[in-house]
Amino acid sequence: MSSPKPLWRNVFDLVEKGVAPKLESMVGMSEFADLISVLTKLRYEANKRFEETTQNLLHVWNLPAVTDLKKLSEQVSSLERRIRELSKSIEDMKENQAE
Amino acid sequence: MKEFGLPDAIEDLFAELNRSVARARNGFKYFVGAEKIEVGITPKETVWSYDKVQLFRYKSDKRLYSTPIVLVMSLISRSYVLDLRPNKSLVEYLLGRGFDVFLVDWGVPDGFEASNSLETYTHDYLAKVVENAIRVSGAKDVTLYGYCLGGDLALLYVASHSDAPIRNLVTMASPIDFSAMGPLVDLLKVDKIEPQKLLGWDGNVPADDIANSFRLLKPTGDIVNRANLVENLWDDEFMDGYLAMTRWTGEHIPFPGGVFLQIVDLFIRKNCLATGSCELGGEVVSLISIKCSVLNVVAEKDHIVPIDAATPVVALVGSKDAVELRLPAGHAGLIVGRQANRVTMPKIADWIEGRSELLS
Repeated sequence: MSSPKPLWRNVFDLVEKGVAPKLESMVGMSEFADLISVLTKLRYEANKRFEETTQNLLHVWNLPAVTDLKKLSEQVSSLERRIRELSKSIEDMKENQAE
Repeated sequence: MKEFGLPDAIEDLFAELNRSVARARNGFKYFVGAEKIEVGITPKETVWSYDKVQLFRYKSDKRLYSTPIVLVMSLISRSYVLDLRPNKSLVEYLLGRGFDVFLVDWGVPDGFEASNSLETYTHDYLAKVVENAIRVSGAKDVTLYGYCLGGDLALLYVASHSDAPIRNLVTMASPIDFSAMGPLVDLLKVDKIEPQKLLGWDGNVPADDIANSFRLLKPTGDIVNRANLVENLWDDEFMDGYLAMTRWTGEHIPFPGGVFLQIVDLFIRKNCLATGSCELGGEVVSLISIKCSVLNVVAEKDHIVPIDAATPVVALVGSKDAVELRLPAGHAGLIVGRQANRVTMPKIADWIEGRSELLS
C-alpha cells in the first residue's frame, strides 16, 4: 500500500511545477542560445591560450605538452588502423589461397 | 470512523519506526558511498570483439526461438542500461521470453575512435556484428533492435545492405526528424556553435559536456531526483533502482568526434534522415529500401528525443509490415522502471515473438 506524500514533498512539487517550465523555456530562448555560443567560444579560446602558454613553458624544459600527446595519440591511432588494414589483407589472402 | 483507533495508531507508529531505521541505514550507505551497486550482471560471454566493439551473448537454458535479437546501443552512454539490475533488465526479460539475446557494446572511445565515421559503425562494425551473431547462433537471420542513436545506426545499416540477413528491425526512441529535437540541437543547426569547438583534446566530444547538455534539457531534474531520494530513502527496492540509474547517468562516455561532425552536417543541418535518404560511404542510402518488418517504439514523455522527432520511421521505410508503438513513458522509462516491465517489454516482445522462427 502506498502512503500519502509528506507535506514537504507536496510543497516541493508545487514549487517545482511552477519553476521547471519557466527554466525549460529559458533554454529555448535566443538569448540563452547566444549565451551558450559565447561561453563555448570563450572556453575554446581559453583552452587554446592555456595550451599555447603551457606548451611554450614545458618545451623550455624539454617536456611534452598536451598538444604533443595529441599528435602522438593521432599517430598511434593511425598506426593501429594501418595494422588492422594489413591484418585484414592477410586474412583475405589466406581465404583466397584456401579457396 | 475507525472503531479501534489505538491499535492502528500503534501499528502506524511501528511502521514509521521501521521506515526511520531503513532511512538511517540506506542514508548512511549512500552518503559514505558504501553502496557500490553492481550493474549488467546477467551471465554472458563475449563471442566476438573488434577494435573496442564487443558482442555479448547472454546465457540461457530456455531458448524457444532460433531468430536471435541483437541489441544495438547508442554511442553516448554505456550499454549496461539494457541489463541494469535484476527485474529491471530488458535483456533479462527477453531471455525469460525464450529469445537468444546478443548485445553490441561499442566500448569507451578515445583518440582511436575520434576519426570514426557513421560508415565505420554502419558499414563495418554492424555488418560484422550481424555476421558473427549469425555464425554463433546458427540462425539464418536476426532481429536488429536499436535504442536511441543505436536505432539510427541500425536503420542506416539495414538501408545500405539490402542483402543483410535482417528479419525484423526494432527502433526505440530513435531521433529521425532533427528539426523537432529541441533547443540544444537547434544551437548546432543555426551555426551559433561551431561543432569543431566542442571537441576535446582527444578529438571526441567530452563525456561531461554530454552529461551537462542533458541536464540543461531538464534543469530541475537533478533536484527532483534528490527529492525522490529523500522521500524514498526507506524503500530498499527504490534505492536499488536509484543507485543503478545514478551510476548510469553519471557514467557518460565521450562521443566519437568524426561521427559528431557528420551528425551535425547530415542529420542536424541537412535533416537527411527526415527526408528518408542520406549520403553515406559515397552512395545515397534510402530508408525506403528497408523491406523487413519494422517496429518503431516512441515515448510520449521523452524529453531527450521528443516524440515528434522519433515518429517518422514508419512513413519512411519501404516495409509493408511497419508499425508504431506509442508508450506513456520517458526516454529511459522505456527500458527501466515499473512501466517498462509491465507494458513496454511485453508489447515489444509480443511483436518480435510473432515474427520469429521457433527452434525446431
